[in-house]
Amino acid sequence: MIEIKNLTKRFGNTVILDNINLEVKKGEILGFLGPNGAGKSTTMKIITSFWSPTSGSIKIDGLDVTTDSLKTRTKIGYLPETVPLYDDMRVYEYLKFIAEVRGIAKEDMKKRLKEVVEACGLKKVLLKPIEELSKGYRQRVGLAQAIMHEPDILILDEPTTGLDPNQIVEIRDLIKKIGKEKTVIFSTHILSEVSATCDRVLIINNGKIVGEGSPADLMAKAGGREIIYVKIKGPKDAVLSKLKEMDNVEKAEMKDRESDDVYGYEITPKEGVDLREYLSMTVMNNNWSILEFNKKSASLEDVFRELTK
Amino acid sequence: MNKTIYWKTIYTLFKKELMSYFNSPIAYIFIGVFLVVGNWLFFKNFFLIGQASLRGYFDLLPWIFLFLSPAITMRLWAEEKKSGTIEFLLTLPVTDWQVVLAKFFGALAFMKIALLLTITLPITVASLGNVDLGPVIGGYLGAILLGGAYLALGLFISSLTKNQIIAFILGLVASFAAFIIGADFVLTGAPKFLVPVMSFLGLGSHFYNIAKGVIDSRDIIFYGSFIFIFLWLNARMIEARGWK
Repeated sequence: MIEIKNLTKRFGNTVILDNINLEVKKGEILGFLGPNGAGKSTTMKIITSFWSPTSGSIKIDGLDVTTDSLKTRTKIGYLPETVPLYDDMRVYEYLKFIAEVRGIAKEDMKKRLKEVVEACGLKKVLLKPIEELSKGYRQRVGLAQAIMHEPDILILDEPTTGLDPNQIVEIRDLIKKIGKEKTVIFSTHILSEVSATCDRVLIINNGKIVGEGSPADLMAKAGGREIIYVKIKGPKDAVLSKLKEMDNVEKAEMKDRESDDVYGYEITPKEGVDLREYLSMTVMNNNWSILEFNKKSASLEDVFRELTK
Repeated sequence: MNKTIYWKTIYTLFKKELMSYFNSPIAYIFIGVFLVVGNWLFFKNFFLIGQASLRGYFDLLPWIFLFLSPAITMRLWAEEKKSGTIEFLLTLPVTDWQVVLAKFFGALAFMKIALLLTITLPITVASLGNVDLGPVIGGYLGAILLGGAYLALGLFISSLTKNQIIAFILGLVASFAAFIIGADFVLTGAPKFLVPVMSFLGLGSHFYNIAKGVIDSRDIIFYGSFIFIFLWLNARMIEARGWK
């Protein structure tokens, strides 16, 4: 569906994208992750033919986005990061303009507008000027604009930034709903969003792809290392030295303090070792007691931080 | 691309451009000021001279247009750039050239509406005496051509900046320079060999020819080429986005 080959973008001497290769299959939801300025938006701007690449190519269904741009643009719905809309227009005026400029036939227009308004929940604000809309509604109008011509590909640049948690869930559900039939590429900072919505994740840093795979794959790649957090009642120094002495412990450190003799500790076991039973026995043997126990696996956050350091 | 669809898309964009003028109060203010200033300056001298002629008005018009045209064009690209809507606009399945044409025709239509509202002038003057129709028609035709030239220039300048005020001031200065370069009082100070060139390039002399009622194809071709060149430069400017 989308095929990116050796894509490079430079502004003067600054390299924004450095030899990106990527293939996106039909019906896939692909999440772009990366710190600010990593090249997410730039990649999107080039796929949508807003900018041209310095070298390399992007093909959509075999059509090049630079030379066949008028055709590839009809296959793409795009929501830029800042959600630019014509603020002086009313919502229905704007949507009608989009429908017209996207070449939707007059006889289908009413039906299509209705569907889009329904899908994005815009009924209540149709008569309002866009400048008076809340951020959540703006985002929905932006999405409505992007899906108007029923594109095969949706490109959404940080579609949930600046929204409150309820709105985020709404937009995310909307993306999932749309993503059932379409190829979706979206970028985000919110890591939980990626595991909640994406089939595949791409981590970009300094213009290079540094990680790729399903959310589960990526976490596995980060080592799948688990950390044990345990709260023990007992003398601090004795507990800590005992924990450190235990077999199969790579690292043990004190994390927090609840009261004079109750402290929380974090223990990193050696790879592939289940430490739980041995740990509890050790504590009991010393006549201390365990007040809290939980196991944390490496999160996408850790993967992200690891890869983009 | 199919020709009908090509022009239909331009028409859709054009309609949006024209509508957005009237979505804000600024359009009404521009037209109001344009009419008041034009009428007042014209009638101030009209009764002193005592001739049933619109000559005085068409002498004034280029100067009023100097302010009106950049005011019409200043936001056309600058605002799209500032608000980011340019990214949406230029990722639509349209060519840069289509967008440039739509913006130009929108601005021109707005100027024509302003001109249409000055129709009270020839009607008033005609009720006071015999008016020679030739110069009136020529005056309006010249005004549209000259206005089109100012607008093409202003539109191009708007594509150079994000800031509307800068677009306005640069547009005003550039239009003034293009107008004045062929004026008599500039030509007297210019080196001899440059005089014919400057006189030809100036927007003013062509206007006054047409406004006299002498409609010469050379003047029309001159304005057409002037407009085309700046629209072409504009499209190149837009095409060069993202090169930095």
